[in-house]
Amino acid sequence: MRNILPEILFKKVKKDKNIIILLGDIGVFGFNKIFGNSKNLYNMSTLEQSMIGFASGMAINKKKVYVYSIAPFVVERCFEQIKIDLCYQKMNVNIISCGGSIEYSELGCTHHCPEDIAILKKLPNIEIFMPGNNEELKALINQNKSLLPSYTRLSKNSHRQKFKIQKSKANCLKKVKSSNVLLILFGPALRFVESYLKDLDINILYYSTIKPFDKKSLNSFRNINKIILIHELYIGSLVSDISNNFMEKVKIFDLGLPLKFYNNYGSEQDNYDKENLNSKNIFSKIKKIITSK
Amino acid sequence: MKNEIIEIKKDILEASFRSKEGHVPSSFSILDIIYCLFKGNYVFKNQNYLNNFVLSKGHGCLALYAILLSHQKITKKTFLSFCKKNSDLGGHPDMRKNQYITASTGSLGHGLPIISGMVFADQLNNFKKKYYIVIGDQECLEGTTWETMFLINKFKLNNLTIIIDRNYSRNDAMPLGDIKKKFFGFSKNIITVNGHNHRQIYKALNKSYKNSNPKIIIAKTTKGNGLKIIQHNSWHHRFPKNYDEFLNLCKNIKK
Repeated sequence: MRNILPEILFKKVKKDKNIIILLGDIGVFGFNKIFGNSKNLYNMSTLEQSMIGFASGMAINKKKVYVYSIAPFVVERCFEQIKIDLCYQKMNVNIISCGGSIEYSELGCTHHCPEDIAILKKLPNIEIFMPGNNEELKALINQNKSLLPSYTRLSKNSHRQKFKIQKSKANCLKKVKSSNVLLILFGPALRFVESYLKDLDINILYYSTIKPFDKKSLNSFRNINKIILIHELYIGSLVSDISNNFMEKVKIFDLGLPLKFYNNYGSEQDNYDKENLNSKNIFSKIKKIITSK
Repeated sequence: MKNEIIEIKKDILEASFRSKEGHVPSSFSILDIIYCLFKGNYVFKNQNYLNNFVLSKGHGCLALYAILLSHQKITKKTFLSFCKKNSDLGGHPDMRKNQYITASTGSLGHGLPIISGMVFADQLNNFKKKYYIVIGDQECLEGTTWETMFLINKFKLNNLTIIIDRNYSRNDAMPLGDIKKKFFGFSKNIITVNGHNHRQIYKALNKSYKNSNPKIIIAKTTKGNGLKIIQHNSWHHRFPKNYDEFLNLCKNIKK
């Protein structure tokens, strides 16, 4: 997704000169290659907090701003700026991050961010997107006409499914009336189970928009007593969206990342393997949950 | 003019007395600066909204509200609704509630990045509008102040005037030392004035420079200026407790 971002934004800039892109000293080479000497692209270096405030000021004067940086630096470090300068003031600033969760496993915990979505979704007035592949990224950026601030989380991982998504809507991938299990997949985490989709005779729902949360699609399922969540965030990050909106009594099995620091370096996959969160393990966990009482 | 300032200070005391809220000494500290910015038409040219002034030390907002009242931009009723249920004027300003508030401030260190972004957006559109911000001296401790000074230099935002309310009020918590020296690396255009002397304030506001740096005015002020009783630190979060105290305070105001 990182590779196609400059192109997606460049196309938007060509149509609307009021769009400004601010980089937190990341992706600079790729953006410069596409943008050339454009007056719509600026590298702000490593002052993330002020970059958010600055973006908010530009938005007050009618610019549509995209801010791009690494997840922990643009979310956790700037949380108050996002809360006040963007959400409280309702500014049209779109934050795009890369390297969420433990994608930068090799670089250590300073560069990890499995809690970005959990903390941002607690703020009013923000929309949150977690595209699952390049096509979804394009669709979500192009469909977003809202004047509210937004957060889009890029991933180096993608799923290969080719269904069309719609901003703020979940996709029902499978409806099995006889099943009382609902599997909910979020963004790129769909890749963990995509090769088993045919084998799973249960209800399956897919979300690429986290906020506003599509309650309607969730509530369209009846007689569900088990819900399984597959995502790459800390366990519990998305449970409240499900439990607050699901009327029936259900047991939720959250197969996210356990709450801890992943300080063993190695690849992202190494860490997922260690937590038994690779495709094979996740599939066998799902099967166990389906047959459990 | 002297009487005008006294009357505005009485308004501030009244709003604080009625709501049992507000930072009166801080408001008195910046009142003369805001008075000059409005009176001299720097930030306000008969528009029905305000978009080139940010009060970054949001807790001094009673000064801004009282000036808006004196310019008949808000009614007395609105002014006296300060901090009350459903009021548009809170203890810290909310830009979504009133068109004369440009940024929602209160948490320190947010105003400067915001106004710098506004100046930059204008610069991209080739607009030449001048922008003004009032920040507290202790607010300068916030890291975003210095981060933003780098941005201001990088983008040559010389349409910005930064006014520092230098009242030393929290110097015991963290001495700032020679603040002029500290800003000098970012701009040579620094003027120190008596922040209660209107002639000096106007002179500094009118001074122009031909370089690409911003203008910085260090306004030496006194917290609770003109009212000796409230200059003590114990008054930082206080308000007139009863009508007698309110009347007594009003009686003792000296410009």
